[in-house]
Amino acid sequence: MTGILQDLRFALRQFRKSPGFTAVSIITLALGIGATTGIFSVVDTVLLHSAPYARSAELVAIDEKAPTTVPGETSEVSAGDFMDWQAQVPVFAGVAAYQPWEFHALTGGGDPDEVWASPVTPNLFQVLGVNAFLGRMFAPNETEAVVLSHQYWRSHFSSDPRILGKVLALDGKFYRVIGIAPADFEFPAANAQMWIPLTFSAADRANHKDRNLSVVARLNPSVTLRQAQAVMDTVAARLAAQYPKANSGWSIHVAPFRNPVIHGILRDTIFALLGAVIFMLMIVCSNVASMLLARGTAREGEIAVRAALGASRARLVLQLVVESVLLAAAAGVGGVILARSGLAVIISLVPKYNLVETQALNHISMNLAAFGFATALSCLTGIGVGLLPALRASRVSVSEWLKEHGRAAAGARRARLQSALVTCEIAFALVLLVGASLMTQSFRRIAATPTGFDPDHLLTVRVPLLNYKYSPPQSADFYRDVLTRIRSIPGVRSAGMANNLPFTGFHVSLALPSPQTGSPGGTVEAAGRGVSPGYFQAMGIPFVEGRDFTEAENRIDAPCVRIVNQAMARLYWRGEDAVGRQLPAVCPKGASAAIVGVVADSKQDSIESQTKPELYEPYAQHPFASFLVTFAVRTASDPLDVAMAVRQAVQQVDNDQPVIQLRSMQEVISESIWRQQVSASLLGIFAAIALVLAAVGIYGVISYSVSRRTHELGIRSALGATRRDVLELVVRDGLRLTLIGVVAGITLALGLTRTLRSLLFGVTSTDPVTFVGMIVLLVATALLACYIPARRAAKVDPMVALRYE
Amino acid sequence: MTEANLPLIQIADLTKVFYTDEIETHALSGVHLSIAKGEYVAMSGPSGCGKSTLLSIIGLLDTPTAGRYQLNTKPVENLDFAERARIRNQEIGFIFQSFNLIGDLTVYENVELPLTYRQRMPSADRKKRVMEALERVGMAHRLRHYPSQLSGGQQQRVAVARALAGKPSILLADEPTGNLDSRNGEAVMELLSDLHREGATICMVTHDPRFAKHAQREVHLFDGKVVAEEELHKLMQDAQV
Repeated sequence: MTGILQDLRFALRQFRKSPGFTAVSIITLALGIGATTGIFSVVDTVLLHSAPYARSAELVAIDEKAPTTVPGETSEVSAGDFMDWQAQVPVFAGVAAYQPWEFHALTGGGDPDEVWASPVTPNLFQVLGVNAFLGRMFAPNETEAVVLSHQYWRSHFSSDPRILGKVLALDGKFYRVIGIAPADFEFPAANAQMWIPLTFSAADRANHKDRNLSVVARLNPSVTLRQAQAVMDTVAARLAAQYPKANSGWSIHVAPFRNPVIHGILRDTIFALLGAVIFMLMIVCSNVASMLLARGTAREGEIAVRAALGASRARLVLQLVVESVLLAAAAGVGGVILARSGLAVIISLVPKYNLVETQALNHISMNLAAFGFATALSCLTGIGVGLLPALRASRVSVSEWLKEHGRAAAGARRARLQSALVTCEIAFALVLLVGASLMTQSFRRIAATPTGFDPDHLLTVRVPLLNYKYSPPQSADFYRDVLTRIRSIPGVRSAGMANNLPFTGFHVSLALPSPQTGSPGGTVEAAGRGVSPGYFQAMGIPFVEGRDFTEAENRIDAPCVRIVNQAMARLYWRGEDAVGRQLPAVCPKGASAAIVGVVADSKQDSIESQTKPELYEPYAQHPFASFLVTFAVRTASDPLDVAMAVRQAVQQVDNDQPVIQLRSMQEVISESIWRQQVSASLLGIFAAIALVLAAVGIYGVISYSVSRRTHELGIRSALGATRRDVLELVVRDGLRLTLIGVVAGITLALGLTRTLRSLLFGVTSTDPVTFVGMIVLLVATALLACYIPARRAAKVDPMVALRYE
Repeated sequence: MTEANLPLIQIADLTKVFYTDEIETHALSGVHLSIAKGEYVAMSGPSGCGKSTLLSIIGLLDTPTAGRYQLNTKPVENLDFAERARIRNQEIGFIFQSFNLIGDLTVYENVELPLTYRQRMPSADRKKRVMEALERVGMAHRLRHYPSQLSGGQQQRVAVARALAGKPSILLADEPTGNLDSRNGEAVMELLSDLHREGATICMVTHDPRFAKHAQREVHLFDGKVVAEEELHKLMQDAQV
């Protein structure tokens, strides 16, 4: 212990003596540790974090499967069956049901808002074993209570504990706030903002046919999954006998309860970033190890003296490793600070209104696990970068050094090792550069892809209708009234509305009868959108044929008319005029619709997605999904200039009406591609750091080589080498290392960039232009890094080098 | 005097002063020296007398502070770095006390090295020259060896081959036997004598009178000045007193 303390003291003295080396090493390591810790936090929060359920191994999901259910697909459970299980199945300590989410208009708690509330049976929290962070969870049979998510409590109520006991109105129905859930409780998905009691009427209890519940249960401690399944098989048979119409042929499946799977594309992005930081960390480690090797040469004398005085090799290695661990510890502190700042930036970039892709991202933080990870990583990095140089340095031959300073042989060994390290750095840097370049190009192509509408000078605002106040005809009148008011606002050129807007993460899919020319009897998938007259003009979607809906058509009792996009017109009428045609079975009661117009194709779900056939209907003829209703307001100038006037226009019609997500269409598009932008930016930053570190690495190796070869360069100069000859010699050495690294990097990159395929748009993972461009950039940077020591080498005075006089 | 009879090296009133901090050290003071083509000159004198400084100026490794220096009738005291490098490569062959072979290069590559700095010299010509030089010093059988695999005497013979390969006007040898035992030292001196007999011009620095005797002429230096032999003895005796 005393020895280690002495080593620590000596290490600190050494660092004070070499502030440049110390600062560069700590900063370099901090970059690697910080980036890795930051991305680890994202991985931990989004992918690894286990739900805060007590004894989660006892939790099971139960669902019902029809004979026609495809393997792997799950079906929900009817209220009648659920009540039966809850009452009669003893293998479970508790059975709870929930519905994924419902949109509700929230009033009575500040500005009217729209919230995602998940209806759950009151015993759900007890079954999961989750206690309230503040207040309490539901009592049995409680109906008019609400539990808030920690995140919504923080964001909407500023973490005010006095919210407990207050009454909120959800769609006009009153609920008392009784508790706040723990911060890491995300059920059934991260976007749930509150939980309300799920209650069943007598009719629900008797209903075994309509399956709309998800069920989670806790096994009794002595019961296995297999036993529970056997019991449920019996229950299924009994229910089939009791309710043959609803349950005949249905089976019940019991499976371990798992958290919802994170959106695949988000998972791929996180893995790509994780791969990038691992590469960056390896570059950092190679760089610092290389510096420590060079430093080992400078300290040969000290090490030889220590060895001469009786220090064993193990003791010498320990001393040197203690130094590198101390460096890494200091870097770890810097890394944690960097990671915290970086995560704050990443979180600030997560869209506020993207409802699907942002699961769990708002909860990313530097938690205890991340601190533990940073600590462990710092220790491992310290040992990793220090061990090899320490083993090398401790191999100094005492007698040789004391006689001749032993420079030539040991120096050559170290130079080889340093060269190998820098070659690895270059290879890894090339992989990062290629990956970042592919992602950046992909992002640029996405950003430059036409959307099919004009996003400039376009304000969007969601007005989720208070369904409890408006019947379908009333809702159409409400929107008509609001639109009229908005259109009269100075600076507004046109306005329209749709039941959902492109790029918001939602779409409505329709299964339409196949066209006559298609496969008979089948269906085709089309996007569906309810729109008001004026929507296409406001969005800037041109008509190719026909006309817009009229106000007379935007009524529930009006003749059924539709507008289609070009893709749909091509599918059904193969380039012939679509206007005036009848589209069968798309209207209520299976009636046909008359096509009154064809609009240009526009993107629906995302910029990368293929344009699907799309069917537009007058909103008032089918006012469904009013919770996503969004106005599109085309303005003469900055669209946000009229935002307040638009809000007032809505509130003049109904002061309780939530008016949310006031933003420009450009912001909507930016948010729809935030993932690509963030991943391209982060990869770009990592690649830039990698490039700089690779340049520093090659500079270090060539500098070290030049200092080691001063005598040789002097001989060459004495024999007639010009400065240019020496310059070329040194640069050639650097170029050789670079090219070896580039070849290794190409091989690695060709293999690894394949994993980016799902994230790329408009560029292939083996795009030759990208590869060539990044190789040129890397080689040019490496040459520049070589040039500085090469110039120094060219100035070597043969007299000094040969030590005349 | 015809051009053929002109001295290969002509030095007049050469001075070299080293400045370190505020101290001036006069390494050479008004040296006059002339070496004819085909001559074998030994420069001797006590340690610190300036003989290696003079040799490095003759070899264009260093520049004089003042004075004139003509090599092959051309003034060379004020040439730039590149021109001095070119002349060193083409006109001068160096033999160093510590051989100064490059450890990472083979015997062949070491001897070839000065030729690689000559632009547009075909590799076949280089090979011919290298093999001739190695055969001349009896080291052709070791051309794939590295310097560390050779004895000191063998290394110095390779260094001589390297100096010869460029067919220089003059061979400059700085204590060529300083790192060798007497047997190997004698062998190297024999080699230099043979080369002289074949027409080479040699200027050798040595402090060993036995080896100085191999030269046709001995130039004595003392405190940076060329002195006669008798004067050298007297000065040295005075210095001892």
